[in-house]
Amino acid sequence: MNSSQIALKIGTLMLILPQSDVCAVESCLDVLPANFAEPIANAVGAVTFAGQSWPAYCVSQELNVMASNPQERRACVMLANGNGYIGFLCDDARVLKPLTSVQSYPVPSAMSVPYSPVLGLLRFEEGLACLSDAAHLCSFVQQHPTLQ
Amino acid sequence: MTAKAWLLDTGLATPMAIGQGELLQIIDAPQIFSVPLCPEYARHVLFWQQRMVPVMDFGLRMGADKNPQNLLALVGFQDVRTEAIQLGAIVLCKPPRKVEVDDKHALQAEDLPADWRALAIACFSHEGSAIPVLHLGKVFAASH
Repeated sequence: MNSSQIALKIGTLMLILPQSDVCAVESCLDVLPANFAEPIANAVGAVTFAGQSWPAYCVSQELNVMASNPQERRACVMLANGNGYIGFLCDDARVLKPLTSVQSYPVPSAMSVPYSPVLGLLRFEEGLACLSDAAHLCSFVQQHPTLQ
Repeated sequence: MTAKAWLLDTGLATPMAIGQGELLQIIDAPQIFSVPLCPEYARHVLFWQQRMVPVMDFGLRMGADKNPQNLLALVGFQDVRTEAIQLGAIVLCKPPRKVEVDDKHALQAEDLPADWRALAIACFSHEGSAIPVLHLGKVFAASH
């Protein structure tokens, strides 16, 4: 991992993405009730970015897609999904130096689930971090059923 | 001919067995880390000698209650897909017990419940019970 990463804190969960996958970091105050022409499944609201309104999504620290936005989520990172953008809510986002000396591991076979956006694992600070990217996170939050 | 095996108590009505050489170490109360979205019986990993090891509550997987203990059997086995040597950890209720198994104690796979047959490499009789010998490569393989 020679390029810069960005760490998204979601409760006790730490998600690490390539920094290049994050287009911007907005405040959760910019996430407003959704008013799309067609309802968008799983979206907890809408956020304006690059002159348009995009759906915003929220997950729990267990990576369950949520139907509402807990107050701990204070930031909204904008991820490109190929057809535009989505907002992804987190407690905070911080840029990391390149993790050159940190070994990452694949998710063990017995633990893998086909729909998971977790692509790998690494020791991070005092705990464990999950590696992902914008494409897998976007697909996951848009297609996985929400936890009510 | 006889062979030695370890009996593992994972909270099920009968213990299961692994080969003597497959048990590498008993680890008491290690630091384990939760991985989101994984099956409940395989939701944690630990780090051991620079390697990441999946932790499996095998009893829970086979229908017992979740094991509250944090006593682990670290096992080594050959990956069924890559044939590389892999590590895994099985949650135990109590320390394993070594037994000697004679050929005359061998049973047929049909003596095991159906859901065990896919995960057992052999079976033997011990103290009146049919003991499955785990195929660790299959136990720690992807379940989907």
